[in-house]
Amino acid sequence: MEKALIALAAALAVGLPALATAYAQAKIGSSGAGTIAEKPETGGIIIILEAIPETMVILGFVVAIMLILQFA
Amino acid sequence: MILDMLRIAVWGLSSDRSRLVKVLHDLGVVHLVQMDTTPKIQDSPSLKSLQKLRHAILGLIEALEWKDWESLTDDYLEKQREFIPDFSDGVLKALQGSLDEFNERLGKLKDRQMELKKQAEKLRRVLKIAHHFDSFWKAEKAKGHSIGFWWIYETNLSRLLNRLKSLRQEADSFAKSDAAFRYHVAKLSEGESVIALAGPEEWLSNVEKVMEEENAVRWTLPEEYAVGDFIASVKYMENLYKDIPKELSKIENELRETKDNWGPKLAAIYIFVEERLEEVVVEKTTKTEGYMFCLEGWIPEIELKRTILALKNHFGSRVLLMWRRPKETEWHKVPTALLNPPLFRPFERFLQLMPPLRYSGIDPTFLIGIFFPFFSGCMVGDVGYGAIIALIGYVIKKKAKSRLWADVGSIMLFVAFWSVVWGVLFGEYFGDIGKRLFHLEPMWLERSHVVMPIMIFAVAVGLGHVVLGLLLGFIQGVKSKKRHLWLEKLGNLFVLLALIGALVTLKGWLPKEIFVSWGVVLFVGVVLLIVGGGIGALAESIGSIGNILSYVRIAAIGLSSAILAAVATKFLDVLGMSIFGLFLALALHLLNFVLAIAGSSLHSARLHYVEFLGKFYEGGGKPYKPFSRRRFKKWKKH
Repeated sequence: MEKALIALAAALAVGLPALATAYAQAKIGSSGAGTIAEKPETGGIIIILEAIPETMVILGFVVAIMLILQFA
Repeated sequence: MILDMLRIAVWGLSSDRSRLVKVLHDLGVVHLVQMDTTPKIQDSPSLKSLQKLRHAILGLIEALEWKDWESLTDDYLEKQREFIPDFSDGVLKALQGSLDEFNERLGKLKDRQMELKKQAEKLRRVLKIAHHFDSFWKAEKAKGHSIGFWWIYETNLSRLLNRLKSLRQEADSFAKSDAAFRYHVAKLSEGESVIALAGPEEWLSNVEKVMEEENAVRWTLPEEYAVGDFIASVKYMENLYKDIPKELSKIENELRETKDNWGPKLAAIYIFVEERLEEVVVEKTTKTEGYMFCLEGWIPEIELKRTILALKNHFGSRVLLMWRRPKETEWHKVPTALLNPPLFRPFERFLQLMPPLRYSGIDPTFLIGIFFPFFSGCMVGDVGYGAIIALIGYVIKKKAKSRLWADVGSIMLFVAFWSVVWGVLFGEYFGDIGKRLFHLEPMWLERSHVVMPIMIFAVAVGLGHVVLGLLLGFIQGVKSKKRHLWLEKLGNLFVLLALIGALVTLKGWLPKEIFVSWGVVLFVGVVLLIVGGGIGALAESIGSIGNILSYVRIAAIGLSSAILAAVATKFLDVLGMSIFGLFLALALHLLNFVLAIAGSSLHSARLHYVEFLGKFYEGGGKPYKPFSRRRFKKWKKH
């Protein structure tokens, strides 16, 4: 039971930020596509902006790994 | 490295103006400052005639469909320049005349080509219809019948045929033999047909009224192809249709030859005209005082000797060159020229996504060249993948037709080097294949098994990178005498030092007695922060801690890449050495490779743009744009 709870916690630690990241990236992606259509030279900046919300899921992944390594 | 710039003023005699501008144009180092294109300049007749010439040449280049700008070498341009030493009124007139003549000749060829294409299409359509009725026409003509053709809507066809059949008796009465009236229908498209009617001549003339009522229109061979009877005309058209491709290919050959011979020449003239236009604009915008004129601009200090020598060689003592270093108050006006070792020059590309660097700023190119491939390589961390990246980078660099792609290739080679180094340290050769087949052990850690040390290492690297950024920001603040800036950066550094010191003391690596002193350091840091940037600076300090933690992505992305590579090989364990197993393993490796390249470069770039450059990079500068001749291939010299 304890292991199951740890696994659930790890899954939530990755899953919830993943949803938030996906939402943010969808918004940035659609706006970015519009921006690139208007100004193609902004392509590089938009790609960098697209990567910014990934911090959430990466940190979530780290927390999940720590949970598993510490308690499982 | 940002080059030191000098403000220069060149005074010369008005009679030397044109020649002096030409010499400076050839020299290609002066960033001119007084360029303003007022309406008065635009109205200048020499400018107008040059612009007209430029448009004419561009029109001809486009008409020739010549696009091979990359093939123009410096040598070729210099050879062509000998034919057009200047753009005096006489040369301009002669050029315009030749271009008009060339345009006329080209226009004639193009018109003939278009005409032939249209004729071929027309003949194809007419012959397609005519061939339907060849045998019908011959058979009916042999019977002595007259034949007529009508174009008709498909919807009216069956009604028309019924009406014609009712007129059959009438046809029979005219006929000298039996089966007097015959028809043949050819479908042209979904809604259109052509019908041929054969019968006695008198009957056919009576049928005209019926055809008219059914909206049928007489169809005849085009007048220009009608020679004798129907069959003779068809034969004539067939011959014409057969000859068109020959003539077309002759014209196409002629056009190709013209394009190959004249395309580069016209392009060279176009470049010379563009250059001359730039010179004319500069000539018109110089400051004139009596018999003298003055040109002002910026040059890199390292180019001063060359500039003096060039002016002395051409004008002796007829030119006065004055120079001085920029004052602090005009630093914002000074253009920024970068000079980095050729090895690191490709990393200047990263600055193109940022606002132009200020003259008083710090050029981060060298640091990006060190850290970008280091981080990227750490994320990929596989000898096999590194080797493939090196191969792709080498091919891109060799085949590159533009400087951008050559730079991309060079950057990939850097990333490949660090990927191999990290691959050896992590013991990864296409995942765990090296370990399985050759028992190659990691020289440091196996990252898919030992996660925490790698994460701690990534955060430590991040700490170093962010601290370096803050230090550069501090230096930047001191250099530009911005008190709030250096106080803020220093405060940030103190806060980070206090937090790390406290952590290390709690771990027991430092004596517990000094723990209180970290509190003092923290207090000093907070005071510096508040004095420097107010309460808002405190938030930035917390942001710095977030920035450091963000570097954990190096470990996280690397870990996911290592696990994916191991899973790819696992397919062979589960499915055995089957084609399906191999296919799945290769497919997953390919996916992992693409993700490794894209993810590592994207995240490494993001760490630089967001976490590192944000600490010290000063934008809002002016890029150095020397007044120089156009050289499309210049980059290949490096």
